Amino acid sequence: MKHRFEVVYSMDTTLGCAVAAYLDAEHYAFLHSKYSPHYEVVRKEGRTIRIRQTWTYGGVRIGQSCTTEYAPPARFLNYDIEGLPVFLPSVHHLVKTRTELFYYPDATGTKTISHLVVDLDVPAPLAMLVPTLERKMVALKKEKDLEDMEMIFRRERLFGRGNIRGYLADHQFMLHKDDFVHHFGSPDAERRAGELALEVAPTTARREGVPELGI
Amino acid sequence: MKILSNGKKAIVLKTGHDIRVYSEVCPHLGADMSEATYCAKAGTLQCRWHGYVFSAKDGTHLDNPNERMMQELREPSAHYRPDRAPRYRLPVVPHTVRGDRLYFTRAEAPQATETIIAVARDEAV
Repeated sequence: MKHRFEVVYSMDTTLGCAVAAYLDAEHYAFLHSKYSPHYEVVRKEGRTIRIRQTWTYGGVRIGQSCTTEYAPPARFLNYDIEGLPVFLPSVHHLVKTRTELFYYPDATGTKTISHLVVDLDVPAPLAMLVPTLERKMVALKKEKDLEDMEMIFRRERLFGRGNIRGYLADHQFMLHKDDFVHHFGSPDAERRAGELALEVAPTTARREGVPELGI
Repeated sequence: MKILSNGKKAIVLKTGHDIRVYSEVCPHLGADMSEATYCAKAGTLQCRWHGYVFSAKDGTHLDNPNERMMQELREPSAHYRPDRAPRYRLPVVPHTVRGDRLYFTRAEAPQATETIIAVARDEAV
């Protein structure tokens, strides 16, 4: 059984800040330590990275590995998710998940729409699990985004709204840094990035009347 | 941690008679260091956002655990030059101790790439 759902909300920040926070991988294992205290890179090929996220539960290290892909300027994919260790029963043995996250500017150009499209492939006998899976995935997405917004808001208070100079600095590490600088390295580039992001936005994209991120 | 009348925070670390006072702003990307993890045994503060580890004794940057976790991704490129990484240091807040009180003096902005907070003048803890 295939099931698709979408999670759409507005984040009170610029497109550049939202993308920077997503690509700022150094915070994954710390600010998001509740969800992925151990983060490992398995391999990287171009804009595709295979990662392993694990945590210790009852003395056993469990987790998941997945493939992440960046489609500049503001589209992010996750797929091929596997539970770890593979011999332990896991929802990933039964349910195939693919997510596609789009960021694009709202109608005013001052906020960012986060538009997540989730495709689940669930065996028919487990169809009753779909609402629970959906609810948990939506909650997880919002919790992590709220943590990111805490970081974004504090940086905004300290350095000004839309300030991504810290991320653009030569020494600052982030995923796909050259792509990020290409698309967000100047106000003009960021404006064009917004236009490009809108060109590839889902057909269900909305830019007005979108609810603000909140639990 | 002390919240000053101007709403800014300072981190006060006291070991015996030794008192260290740092700005709340992480010199990396601006995290609130009053939420850092303090390890008394190692004498370190670890930033909550990115895990950067600083010496509680003098504020110097000691470690970035991400360098090991993401070693495969940290190849230099046109816009990523790890050799240009600055020597991060927690900004020290000037202070004086008079009797059993600690007084802060307004700090000059440290040499950071972005703005920095100042602390209130002559405010006692």
